[in-house]
Amino acid sequence: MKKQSAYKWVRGLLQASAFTSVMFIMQACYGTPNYNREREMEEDIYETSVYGKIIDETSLQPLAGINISSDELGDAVVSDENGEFIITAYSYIQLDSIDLSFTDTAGHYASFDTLVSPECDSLNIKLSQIKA
Amino acid sequence: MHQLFHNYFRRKETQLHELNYLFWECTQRCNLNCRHCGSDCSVSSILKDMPFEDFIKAISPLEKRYPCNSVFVVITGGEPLVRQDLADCGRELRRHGFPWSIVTNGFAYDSVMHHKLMSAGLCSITVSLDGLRETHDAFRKRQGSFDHALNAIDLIANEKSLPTYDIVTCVSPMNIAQLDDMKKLLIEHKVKAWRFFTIAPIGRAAADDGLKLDSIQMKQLIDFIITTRKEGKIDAKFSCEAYLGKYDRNVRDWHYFCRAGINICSVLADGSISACPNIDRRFAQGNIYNDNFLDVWDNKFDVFRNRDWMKCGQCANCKDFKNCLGGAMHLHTVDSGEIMECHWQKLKGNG
Repeated sequence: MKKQSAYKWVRGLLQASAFTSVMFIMQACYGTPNYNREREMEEDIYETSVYGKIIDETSLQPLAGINISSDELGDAVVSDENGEFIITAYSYIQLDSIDLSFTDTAGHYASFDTLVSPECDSLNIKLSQIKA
Repeated sequence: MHQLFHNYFRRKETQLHELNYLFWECTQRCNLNCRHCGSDCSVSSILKDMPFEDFIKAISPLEKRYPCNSVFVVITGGEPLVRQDLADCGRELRRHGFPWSIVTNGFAYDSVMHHKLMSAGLCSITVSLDGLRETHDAFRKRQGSFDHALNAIDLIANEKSLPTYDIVTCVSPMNIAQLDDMKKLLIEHKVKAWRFFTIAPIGRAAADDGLKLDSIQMKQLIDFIITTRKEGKIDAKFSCEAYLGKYDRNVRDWHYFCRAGINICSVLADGSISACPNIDRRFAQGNIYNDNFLDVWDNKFDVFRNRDWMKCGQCANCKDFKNCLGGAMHLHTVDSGEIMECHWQKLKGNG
């Protein structure tokens, strides 16, 4: 056990050294290159989440089934039965703003686009019904 | 001396067997039907895609065992891009602290997919390119495969925020004469890293002798990699598939080391727990639907971690056995300890 701990200590030094870190870069034959483990992902990758709630502009009732998409986040989600949604994405650059599009695929409500800050904690969206 | 140090290092790493690299065979479906496929996948598989929830439930104990971001999940197939929920799976993996990547033929990789995967935290990607247009399409048995793959390569090579990637080429008698032209093409397309395989006699390729390199072609490939590395315009390397004797350090950054079952594990489409997906599936050590994943990793895998059983056949009296330990695991079957082919012997003209 003592020997194993000593090896782990030496191993840490080898991993950190520019000359020997290559020993630890593994790549299975049919796999992809491993990302550099020295690159601490918490520092490099940005998690952006936007939470929101969608309601009918007139009745103020929650709207389920509204499609929310974002080019910046490259993701799309649908609001739940409470009209709530959360859209999350990871990026290697810090986003200045996020363009969100709200679309009712059933066609009862007018589509709506808005620009939000990544720091925005929550978002309340009111959609208006399309008049016949 | 260097080799001795490596052998010591390999022994210690085997004792420690820290899991760093985890394959997930998320589907066996594929949108191509490649001549040389090592997994023999098909357009419609009888096996259903594994639900992501099953996979994440099985591997979640790793979150407690290993530091965040230290277990790298490589999503493979089949073709992972045929899964509609691929980006969602990737995003969830990131949320659980697993960096992830995909191995793809690039056919379904367009700009929408690229954006979607990048924003789901894609860390690395490998795209296959097996020749110039006509050759690649013949290999892949689908017109347009080359153009799709090149489009994917452009998207990836121009993506500044992708931490790493590479292009892989399976070298065979069909494309070995095209390597120079392929190099020019890849450099023109700003590709930074290029990796080479030979085609192992497994999966669909087992019954296709026309894909095997002979001794002269094998040497030609090694010389090509050495020259390309010296030029320094693209980071060329031979894959970890085989020990190459005196050429070993000239074609890759470090000595040959088959880490299957030592640092590499896999969850296959049917839930089997094994090492690299191209290894004989009868070597599976357990199944996520019956066994505890960590128990299997900790207490099984003897056949991967002690390779004395491979010292038979042409390896029995080979003086290089201490360096290669019988070669790559995927070149063995459970039926026989003998290696299917030894690249080093082939390079010496004995293969």
